[in-house]
Amino acid sequence: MMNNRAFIAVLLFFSPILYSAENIKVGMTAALTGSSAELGFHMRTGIDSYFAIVNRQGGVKGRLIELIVKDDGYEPKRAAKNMRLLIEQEKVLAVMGNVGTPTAIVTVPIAQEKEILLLGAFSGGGVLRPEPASRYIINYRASYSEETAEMITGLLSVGIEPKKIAFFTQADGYGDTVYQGAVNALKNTGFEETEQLIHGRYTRNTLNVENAVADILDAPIEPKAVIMAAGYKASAKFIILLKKEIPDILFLNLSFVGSYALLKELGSNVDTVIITQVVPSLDSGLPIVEEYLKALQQFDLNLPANLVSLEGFIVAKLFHYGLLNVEQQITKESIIDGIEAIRGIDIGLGQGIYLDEQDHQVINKVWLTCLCQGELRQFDWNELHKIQNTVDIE
Amino acid sequence: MYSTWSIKHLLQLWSVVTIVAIILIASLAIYSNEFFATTQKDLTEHILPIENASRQISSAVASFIARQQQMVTSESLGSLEQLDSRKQLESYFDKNWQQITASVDSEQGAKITGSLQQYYKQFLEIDDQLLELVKHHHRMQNQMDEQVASAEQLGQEIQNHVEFISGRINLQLSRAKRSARLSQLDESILSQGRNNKVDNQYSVQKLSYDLALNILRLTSLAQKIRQANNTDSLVSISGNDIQQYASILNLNINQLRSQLSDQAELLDMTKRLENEITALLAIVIKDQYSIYQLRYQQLKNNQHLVAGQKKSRLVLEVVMAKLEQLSILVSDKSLTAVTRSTQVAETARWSIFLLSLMIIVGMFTFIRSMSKGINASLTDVSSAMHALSSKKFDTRLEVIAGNNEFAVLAEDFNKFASNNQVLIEDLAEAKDAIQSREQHISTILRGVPEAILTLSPNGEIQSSNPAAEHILKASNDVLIGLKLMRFFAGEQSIFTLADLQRKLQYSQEFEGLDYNNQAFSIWLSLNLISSEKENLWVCVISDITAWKRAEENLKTTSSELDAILENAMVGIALIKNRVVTRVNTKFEDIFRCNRSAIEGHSSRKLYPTEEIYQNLGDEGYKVLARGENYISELRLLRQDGNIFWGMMSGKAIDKNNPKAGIIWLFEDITEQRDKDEKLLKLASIDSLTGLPNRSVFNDRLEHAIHQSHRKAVRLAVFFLDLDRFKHINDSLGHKAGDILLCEVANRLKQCVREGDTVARLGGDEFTLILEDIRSIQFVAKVAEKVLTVISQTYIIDGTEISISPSIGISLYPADGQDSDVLLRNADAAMYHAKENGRNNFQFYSAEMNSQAAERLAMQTSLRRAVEQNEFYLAFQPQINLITGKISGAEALLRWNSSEWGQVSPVQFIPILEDTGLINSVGERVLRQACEAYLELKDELEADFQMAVNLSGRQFSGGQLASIVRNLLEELGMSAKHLELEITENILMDDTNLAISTLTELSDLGISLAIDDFGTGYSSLSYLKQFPLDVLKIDRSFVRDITDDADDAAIVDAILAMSRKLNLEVVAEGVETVEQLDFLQEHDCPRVQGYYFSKPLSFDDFKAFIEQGLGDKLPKIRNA
Repeated sequence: MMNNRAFIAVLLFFSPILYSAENIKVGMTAALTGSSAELGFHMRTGIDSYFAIVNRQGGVKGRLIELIVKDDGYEPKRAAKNMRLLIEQEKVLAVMGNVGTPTAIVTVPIAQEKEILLLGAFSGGGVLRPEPASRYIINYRASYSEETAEMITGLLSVGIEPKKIAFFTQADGYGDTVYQGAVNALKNTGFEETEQLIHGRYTRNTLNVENAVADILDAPIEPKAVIMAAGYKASAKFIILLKKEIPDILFLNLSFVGSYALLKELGSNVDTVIITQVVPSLDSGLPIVEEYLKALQQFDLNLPANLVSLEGFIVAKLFHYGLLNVEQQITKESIIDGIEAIRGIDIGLGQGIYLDEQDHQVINKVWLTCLCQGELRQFDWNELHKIQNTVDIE
Repeated sequence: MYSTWSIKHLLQLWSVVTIVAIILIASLAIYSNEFFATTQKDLTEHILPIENASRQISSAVASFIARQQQMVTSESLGSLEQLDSRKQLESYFDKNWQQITASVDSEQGAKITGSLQQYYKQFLEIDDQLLELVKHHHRMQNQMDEQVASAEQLGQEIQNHVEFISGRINLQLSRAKRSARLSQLDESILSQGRNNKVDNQYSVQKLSYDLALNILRLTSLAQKIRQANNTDSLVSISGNDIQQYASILNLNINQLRSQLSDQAELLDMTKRLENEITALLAIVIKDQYSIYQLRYQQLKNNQHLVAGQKKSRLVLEVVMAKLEQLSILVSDKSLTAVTRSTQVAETARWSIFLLSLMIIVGMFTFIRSMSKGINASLTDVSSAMHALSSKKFDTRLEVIAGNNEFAVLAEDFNKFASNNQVLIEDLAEAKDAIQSREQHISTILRGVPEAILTLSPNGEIQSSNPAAEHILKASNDVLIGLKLMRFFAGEQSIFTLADLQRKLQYSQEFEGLDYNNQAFSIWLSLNLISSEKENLWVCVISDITAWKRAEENLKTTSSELDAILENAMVGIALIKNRVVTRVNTKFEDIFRCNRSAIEGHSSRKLYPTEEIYQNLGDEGYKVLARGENYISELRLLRQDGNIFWGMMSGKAIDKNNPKAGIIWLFEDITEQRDKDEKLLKLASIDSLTGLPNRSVFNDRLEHAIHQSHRKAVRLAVFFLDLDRFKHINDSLGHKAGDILLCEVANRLKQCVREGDTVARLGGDEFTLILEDIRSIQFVAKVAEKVLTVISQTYIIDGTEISISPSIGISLYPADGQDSDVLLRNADAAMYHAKENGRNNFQFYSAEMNSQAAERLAMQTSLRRAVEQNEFYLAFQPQINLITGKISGAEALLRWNSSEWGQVSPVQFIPILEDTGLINSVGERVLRQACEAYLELKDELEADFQMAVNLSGRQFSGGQLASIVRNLLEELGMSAKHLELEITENILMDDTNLAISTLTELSDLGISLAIDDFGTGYSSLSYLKQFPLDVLKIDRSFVRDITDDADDAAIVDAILAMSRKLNLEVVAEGVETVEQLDFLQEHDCPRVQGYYFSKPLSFDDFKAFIEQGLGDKLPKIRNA
């Protein structure tokens, strides 16, 4: 039993929090369960670790930032429900860090209907990048088509013919976006027979990759590289299965896979998976990475650093910078104006950020990394021969 | 009868009678009011509350119905909670109910309320039951939704598992096929070996697809069940479809299991699948809480709900009917009460009416008798008063004795009349005295020279003396009523007498204006005469103009000054308060007027418009007020109505008091101005064509850009150059050229809109600015029009001349933001048009700039290349098909640039030509080729000819022949070994020069060849006028000679014609043996091409000569 005096002491201790101005509520819907759970978890960690710093320093205008996260299991239906719940019941001022393209397909119209900001979704899908830009959608990351264009350019530069590039994609909005992006990139290089490209698909939230592996094995021309748009678990299973049949095939994956999750999943099974990234790799030495590593350690010593939570961290920083630009009352609309007013600021990415009413895309840069010998490092296409040689020797 | 009564007594009697009547009326009114109030009270206390309460109850009942309707149609448990609370409605009902029961006293009423109460309770019970039913419905709906969701999820899981199985099988198949492929085995052989297994796998696949499909059907059935509208359709779904799917699914799974008996992992999966399917079936139909059961229960529930609703409606209808009865009862009662009170009120009204009538009759009788008594006496008094007023002051009334009021009145009247008589006699005396005084004063006023005016306090003239007429130039009649202030010149700001009084404190002298607005000077005094009635002002005005003028004349003029003034070469005027007071002769000259017509008038007459007059007043007088000199050039008005440009210079006479007058000097500068304008125009206009010149064009373009920027519209700049204008100038003379340019200018002006600019930059370069362009199509249309119009024939000095323009177009803002860039880009586009074959137009594109930049860079490299001699020659052998010998070679210029690598001649030769470098390069080529020949001479055939290409540019100086001659002499080479190749264009461009030069060369003994024959427009007969020896058939004809019948025919024709004209022929670009055969067959004498050799470096060529033709030697037909 607590006596009266102790009770009052506790009350006094918490009173600044209990009685301070209303928190700035921000919502997020992402997978916290299911096969893409790692993505949602790390995205949240990144955002939380940044907001923890801001809140330690007293928040913004004396108001703390509060992130309310709902689990959608990477299912569009649940994402839509979460989105409405966040906006109508929790009364959040913005939604950020949502994970996935199929979920974005339903959350984007809701954001526009409810006139609320959808910031830094973890998706490079076209649905988040309408032309002209929507007032209510601001993206941090480069688009999937930019990632795939980078892959195609690289593959062609190392002499792999277009017809020897195969695809393994999730049978949904995400997979289709990536595939279409790659096809367009190939067409731009003058390659016409895109109908004949080998394309295996699998059902979202399952590990049923066998059909896709079979499709590739059945191909009349044996592919030299596979571009994968799939979750990390499915990707891992696919890589292991296909590597068994075609050992020298080159695997490429998009940032969405969650590089460290894939690394964990693969273990020592595979040597080379090239992954395009929309954030700098942890060994890049850029200021934002250093800031993130420090913040993560302060937030929770046990959490591993990875690129997904780095992205969450960056998105949260953008949001914070936007809030600082708001001079009047913080509202759904003034937050957007604040973020649009970010011009010429380098948040540690080594390049200035310029946003305005038309430009809602923070960066378009794509970084290359490679899973090699059990670790994720920076990668350049020139190193491909080196890596493949080691593979051959082993 | 009452005549002896005094009026007082009559009044007293009348009052008593009236009071009695009024008391009677009042008591009647009080009684009827009392009765009405009692009835009213009865109504408000007993009847109205019942009526009111029963109305409230009806509305409560309506709310009950509405609420029940909302309840029944609600969509979820949540929306049920949002319904209005029924407790509130009930308490409202109860409150009003108590009111009724308290008020109803009759037996019949009590009976009705009793049964009403009973029905109300019944309604509440039914309503409770309905609520339960609705809640039950929603609860089942929620359960069902959950079940459907889990059915869908389960269905998805089953699908995934089926996919897992089929994927595994698929992978196994693919692996097998692949390993077969890899080991180069025929797939069919392999499948023979493992036929059974593969068949097995295929059937597994088929089974899993069936399974997946059936699951899909099952889940969609679940949806159908959920939405079924009545139990019948529900039962039919369950009876037919579901059972069917259930058994098929079981069959599927059993078959699958038997097929997968050898795959342990997949077998496990089928077991899971079976469980899942069972679970799915349970959810959909079998379970107690299956979707089917739930929907069934729900539909049953709905039936109850409908029945309950019907019942509750019936009960409510009864309640409403009872209420109706109650209200009828109540209204009967209230009707009786109201009728009784109305009757009482009616009786009272009649009584009051009668009494009032009595009072009125009494009053009438009383007034009649009284007025009879008063009238007789009043007539006497009135006639006496009338006599008094007609000045019969001795009138008196007869006094009748008695205490009557009129006797007193007569006595008083007599006293008043005698007093009046005395007073009037005194007044007559006083009036005589005043009249005589007034005569004195008026005589004085008439005599004084000053104007004397009396004024009302607001300054209006009330009277004036005769002198005023003279001074103010207006008759007294006119003056009366005018304001004194109008006689002051406006700038003194005197608008009220108060203003005047203020000014008077400083000076009594003023500038006056007489009635005709003529200025004059006045001296003035103003005095107030106050009386009790009103205040009167007396104003005395003296005209001191003459005195003032004399004084001023003394001050400002002397006879010397006058002479200067009058003889000055400039117009001089003294202007004071903007009134011209004096002018000189020159002034009269300039303004074409007599001084008498202008002096004393406002200076406004000197200016053509009010605006100029005002501006000068605003600006000039500001400067002048500072005591400074003011000079201005402006338009002035001669008095004969003409306007002219004048220069005005003014200065105050007294620096410290500019108001004392300004001396203005006037000069007529019209002529000088005309001259200036002409000069300005000359500088901005191209004197030949009258078009704006370059500087004006630049100004206009900048202005137009500014405008376009502001209006956010586009504009286009045309750069137009006449093709081969120089040629016309040279051949027809400069005069003809000038006429042509004028004509072109005229035509250009016709092509554009009013506001657009056409300018000539110089030479044959014209520019156009099209402003505010609506579309690119519009610009293109204008350009087409320009092309057509300019290209039409000109007749100059009787000669027909045709000329065509090349037009380059740049657009603002797309192609440049400032005038320089726009013009430069239009120029670039114009060059592009020239390159595209002249007589066309081109829009600027960024590419042109990069092309131009590349060209420029190449130009620089070429200059260095000439210096460092990066050029070398290649030689392509020519074969004589008749002798089978190497009969010549064409020397070709090659450039191996240190910067650009090997550059094609097509690219660099035009640049060499443009820059004029071709002359020195051409000479060098000629020399090297000759030297090469001489070096190999011993090994060559005796009739060997070295062919060298000439550029058109090399002809232009007219020096070519002598250069060649000198070179041959210097090297000691015979002219017959040199062949010079020229293109058709050279012959076309300048025929005369070409003929003379070619004749000279031919005379030297050099053979002349026409290159690329067939690509130009020249006909063989045209060529005949030139001294040509050889004709080279272009490679494009030779290339298709074996495939294209047309080309073959052309080559055949050329060969035939040239034989007739005695020309030798060389076929270029022979690459195949077939082509060679054709040419040989058609008697082509000479050939050149890759079939024999590509162009070779000197060393290789030398080797080629030594080696001979070898097996490529053509068959010699006639050998």
